Amino acid sequence: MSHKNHYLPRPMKPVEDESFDAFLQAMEKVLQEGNYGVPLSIFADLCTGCLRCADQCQVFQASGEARDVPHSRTEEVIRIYREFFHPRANGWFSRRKQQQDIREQFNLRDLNENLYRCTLCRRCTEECPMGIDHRLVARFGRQVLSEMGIVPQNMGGSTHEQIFGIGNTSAFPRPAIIDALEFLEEDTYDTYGLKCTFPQDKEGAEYLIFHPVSDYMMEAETLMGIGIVMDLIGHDWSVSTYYADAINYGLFFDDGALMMVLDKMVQETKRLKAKKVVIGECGHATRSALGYWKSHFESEGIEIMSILQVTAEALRQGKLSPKREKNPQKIVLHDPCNIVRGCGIITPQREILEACSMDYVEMKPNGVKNYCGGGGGSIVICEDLEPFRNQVAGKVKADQIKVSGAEMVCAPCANCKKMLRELVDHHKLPVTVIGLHDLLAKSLMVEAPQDTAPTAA
Amino acid sequence: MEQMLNFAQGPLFRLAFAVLVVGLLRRAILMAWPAYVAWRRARDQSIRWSNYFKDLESWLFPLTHAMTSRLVFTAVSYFFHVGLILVPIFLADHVSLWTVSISLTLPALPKSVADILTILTMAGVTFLLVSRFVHPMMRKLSKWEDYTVLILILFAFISGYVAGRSWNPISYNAMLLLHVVSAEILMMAVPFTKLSHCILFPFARLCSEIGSKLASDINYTYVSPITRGKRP
Ligand code: SF4
Ligand code: SF4
Repeated sequence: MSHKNHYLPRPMKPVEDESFDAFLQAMEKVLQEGNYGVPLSIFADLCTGCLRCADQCQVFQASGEARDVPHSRTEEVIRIYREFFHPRANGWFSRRKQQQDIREQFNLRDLNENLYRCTLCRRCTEECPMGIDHRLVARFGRQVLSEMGIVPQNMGGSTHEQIFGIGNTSAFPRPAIIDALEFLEEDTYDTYGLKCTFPQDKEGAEYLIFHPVSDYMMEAETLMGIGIVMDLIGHDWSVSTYYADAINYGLFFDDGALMMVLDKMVQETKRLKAKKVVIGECGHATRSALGYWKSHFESEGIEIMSILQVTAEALRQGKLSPKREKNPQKIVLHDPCNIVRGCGIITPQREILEACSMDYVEMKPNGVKNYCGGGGGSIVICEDLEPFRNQVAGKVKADQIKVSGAEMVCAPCANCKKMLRELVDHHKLPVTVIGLHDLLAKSLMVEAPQDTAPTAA
Repeated sequence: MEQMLNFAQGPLFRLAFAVLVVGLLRRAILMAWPAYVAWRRARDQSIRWSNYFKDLESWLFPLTHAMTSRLVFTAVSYFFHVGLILVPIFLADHVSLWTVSISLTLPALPKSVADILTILTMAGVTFLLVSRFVHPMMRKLSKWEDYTVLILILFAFISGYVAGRSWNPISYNAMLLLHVVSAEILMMAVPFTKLSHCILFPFARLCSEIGSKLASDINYTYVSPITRGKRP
């Protein structure tokens, strides 16, 4: 195909078998294991080609290429399903010819690239009159690729480490996590003047928090903020140093990985006898846990929630008294797709921001109609896709930030923060990127560290 | 001519109607049965009905969607659909055809209303055809089926509209025959083309929701590409 730019997420290993038959075989297996056939069977007949979806896709808006219209992005996968797996609607006459055409046109590289040009934001589905879920189809396509052994390098490596290796996506050994927690304790006192403990592996604590593990190195402020909040509320909480990671890339490419990671979390929760599991500031981790936990592990009797919900609830009950003056800058809120559209968590982050800052503004559009920052659906994880996400997928977001005129962008999501920082750098925007609990921590700060500083509860 | 018209309005019409109904039923079953089986085997059987109905309602009265994007296009397609559904069923002449051929009694639209709806529909379908052709991206992504279906609809509506007019260039019966036959082709095409969205449309969101659920009878495992092939 003659596209201007190619951004292919390099697979971890050379593909064993690139043939169409290998693809069909993998597809058959995925179809048997899941329920994807149900929507796939009707999508082809539903699409009227109205192209409303094109207006919604930030990738298409930036690139203008036909392949980036959501309708074309998923067309090939839907067509393959229809011609090879579905008792077809329009008869038997043309089937062989169609199959032959598909076979001839099939190009695994292009398909792979195309499926990883989608941020799985689901914005297009909201505006499709027919309700065609392109995110679901793209996700299904990636699952088929994964079944063939085609997984982008960084994502595959991290997931391997998490499930079969050290136990988290960043490959931090346990001592590093323990160190980090001790450091957090000291730093919280130095920075915010608050004495706060970060309990480790506490058995029987009511709340067990899983953070995206990269936060331990990259987003110390967010972790401090969450620690301070949990302490001030007076919750009995803990984190695990054995299995600490909430990141679940399986959501983006493989149901097997998704379930195995969740299973690890459940096992750890049971081992520590916690009753409630809290997911830190991370969009996809929240969606993978909240979305699948209830149905799969509810019988374990463990409740699951997002830290945003916990903090907002505490604010409502007046257990926290943030000082808004501490954050006087103009702050614009970025909505992570997985939190607003994925989990329907829309107001808690706004309540928190409202309570801890003087001048917070919304992006246009926002809430369930938000735009993805450009790094969703694993795009931000793949090194090879860096030019793509900064130049193409994140362009709309960069413009949104520019228009807002804010000095700070607040994003309650680890991946979004990473993506936005790159964007800000790339587009030379005069803003800083910050997490939600970072801001809250600032507003809860005690003037100067004293020995008599208030401790938690 | 008379004979042919009788045939078209009699047996041929009943055939077309049967194809329409049976074909749509087949589509419905092909959709519903796998959906039911999938739902039965899903780990999570909850369905967010309130979301579903809210979403459906927002598309039956798509004002907010029209305001979000493509106001003109959305408005035109909407009114085009209104005419397209109401006129074939409730036009006075059609109502009598229903009564004669399948003994179904329906209320009839007043002639003036039917005329306005017909004109709106013809204008709408022309607009859709032209925009499909003019809009560069739409043209690029349109298939021949997309055009054929629209042209067929346009033809059926125009011939029906012109037949009874004083300025009808050919005889009433000839035009009527064209109208009846094109409409019957259209009816028979519904289950086999994208027109089948008339029955599938309300269920897409439901199917997506069921489709994203994992199965309870599968022990999901992940084979890392690193260890791939190394398994015993
Ligand atoms: S909005 Fe839906 S129906 Fe319209 S072109 Fe896109 S996928 Fe097809
Ligand atoms: S899910 Fe998002 S990125 Fe993917 S096609 Fe739809 S709007 Fe575009």
